[in-house]
Amino acid sequence: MFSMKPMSKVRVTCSSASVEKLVKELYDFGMIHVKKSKQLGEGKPLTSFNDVSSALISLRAIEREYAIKTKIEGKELPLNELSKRLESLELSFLDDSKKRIQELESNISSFKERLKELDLFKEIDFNLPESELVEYACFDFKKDFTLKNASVYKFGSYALIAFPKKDRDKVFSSLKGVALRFVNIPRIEKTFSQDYSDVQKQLDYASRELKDLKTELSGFLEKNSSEIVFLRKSFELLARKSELPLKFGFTESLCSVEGWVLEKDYSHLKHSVEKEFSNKVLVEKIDSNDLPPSEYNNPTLARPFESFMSFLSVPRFDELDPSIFVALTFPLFFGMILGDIGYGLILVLMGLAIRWKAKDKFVSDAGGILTYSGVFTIIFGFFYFEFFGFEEVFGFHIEPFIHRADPHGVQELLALSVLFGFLHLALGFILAIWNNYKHHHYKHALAKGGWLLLSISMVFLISQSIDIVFFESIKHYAEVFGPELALYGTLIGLGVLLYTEGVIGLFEIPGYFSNLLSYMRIAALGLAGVIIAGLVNQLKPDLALVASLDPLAIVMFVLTLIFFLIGHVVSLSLGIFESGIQSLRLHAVEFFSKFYKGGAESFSPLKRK
Amino acid sequence: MAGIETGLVALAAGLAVGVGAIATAWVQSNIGAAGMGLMAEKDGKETQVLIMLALPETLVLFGTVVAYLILTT
Repeated sequence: MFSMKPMSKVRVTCSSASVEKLVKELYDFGMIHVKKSKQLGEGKPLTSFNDVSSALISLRAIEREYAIKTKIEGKELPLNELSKRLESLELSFLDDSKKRIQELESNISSFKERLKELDLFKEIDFNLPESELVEYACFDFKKDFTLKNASVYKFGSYALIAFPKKDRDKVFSSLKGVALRFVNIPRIEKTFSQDYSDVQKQLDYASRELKDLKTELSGFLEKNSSEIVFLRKSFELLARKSELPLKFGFTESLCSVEGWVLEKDYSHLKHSVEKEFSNKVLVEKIDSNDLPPSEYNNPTLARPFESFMSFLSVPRFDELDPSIFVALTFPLFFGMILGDIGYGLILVLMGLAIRWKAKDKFVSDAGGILTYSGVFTIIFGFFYFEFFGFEEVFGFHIEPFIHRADPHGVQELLALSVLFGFLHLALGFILAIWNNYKHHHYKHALAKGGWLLLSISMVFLISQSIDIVFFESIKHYAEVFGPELALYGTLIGLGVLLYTEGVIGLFEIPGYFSNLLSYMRIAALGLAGVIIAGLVNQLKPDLALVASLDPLAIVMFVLTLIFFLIGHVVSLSLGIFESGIQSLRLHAVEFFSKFYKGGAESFSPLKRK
Repeated sequence: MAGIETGLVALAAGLAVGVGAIATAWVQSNIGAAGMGLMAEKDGKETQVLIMLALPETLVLFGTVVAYLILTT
């Protein structure tokens, strides 16, 4: 419960010709965490690797290119079956269509360009024969005109003129004050109007083809997208298998694989592999100084917090797994900060819904954590007696243990927060003693013992001068044992610190107090939450407005109700985020710094059963 | 009408929260920018960034506590 599942390191050695069979056996067994072999020569993938990876590259590229989002699981199928299914898809259609679409789009854009050029001249039904003696010009004119040396064709406010090249200067000088702007005359093959209608036809044809091709393409994708995703995922499963021997050690005739299995699974692995290989294989346990990967070993109730621990840092195999403690203290601090019956009920419902719907373990665990936190939020909701920030539940009110909106209540909550902080840190020291004792680091264990004694004694001493209800019990014990005992405890603690950690240890005492005071955030955040909820509740809709049957009053009621609901959603979201993140911080920074190393590798078997 | 002492007390409480909030915002903006950079460079660093972001909130939270104590004592 407090440590990881026991592991054995195993080595399987067989003929290198049987590597494919070995991979299949290992995958069938599943629960083995394969490590890169340090024995023999470099590993190499299975022969099927090239086919699998090229199929994967093209399938992934297609998925990305056409943004295929279909969700479907892959299946372990043999390579030849997958290859046949891939071929029957005729994916070359996608490549051909892509090329043709690009071509058509480029044609369409050049047709449009050409139409733009011809647009001004589209009504003109003649051409302009090329001649060395004649020159043409087109311009926008601002007043009517006549030209002696040129033929003029007017259309709208434009004029097209033809004149002998030799008279160029004369023509242009007589156009001064007439021509506003000269226009380029497009090159034509037939007449202006015929060219225009030809290009228009080509554009229509290309646009139709493009539309048809796109329809055909989307039909193809609609029909085949699930098959494409299925094949990609199935090829990925195959790729994992064909890549696995990269971690093996090879000689010309032998191959060997090393990995971690759960201790209880070792004999099963040995029997199944030996049976399949008719004993032409060596399966053995090997000694190793490497740290085994970590596989949690917690009761069902604490399991959602395994994801929480992995999110922070996976516990090492050789240290204590604090999941079970975190399962109690995280929701406790969360509930203490949020503390509201109404919000708690919503959290429990949200948590259960997430747990019910989620397929991913991490999300499902987050739902579990939310449910636990919701339960503690309800418990503290009764403690503060708050229901969506109100101090009564449908007219029912009981006197809270702590009134958070009251100055005295805030002081009590601050003291209670520090008290919980003290207990949390003391638990951290106890776990540190346990960890160090287990590893025979007796001096370190003694140092943590010194810290524990020092912290308890100092809190006993300080409690003498604090007059707050939650410190009365501490004060009571301090009086029973006598104030001298706390003083002796402090002195002994200091002595132990000096002996085990030297003067540096003494410098860390303010650090302990800073950690302790850090727990005051529980009260501060709670207070901020209460104030926000109180502000929202000032918008409480008045039912009397509806009873008056005045339309304006009803609109006011609806508007207030909307703002009221939005306000509570914002308040709850802030509450969840802040309570979650600050409770996480109290664990990651204050609590774990006392005993926790973490940073281990998770046990990731080939296949979980 | 409240005396100048009341005004000074209110000012002190306001400063306790305000300065704490400004300091938190300033530090969080730096950590946030660096954190985004780190996450873009390296996968699996979200937890550390989240915790680092939560660290400076202590300033404004303690500011709130101090302000409350100033106002109530």
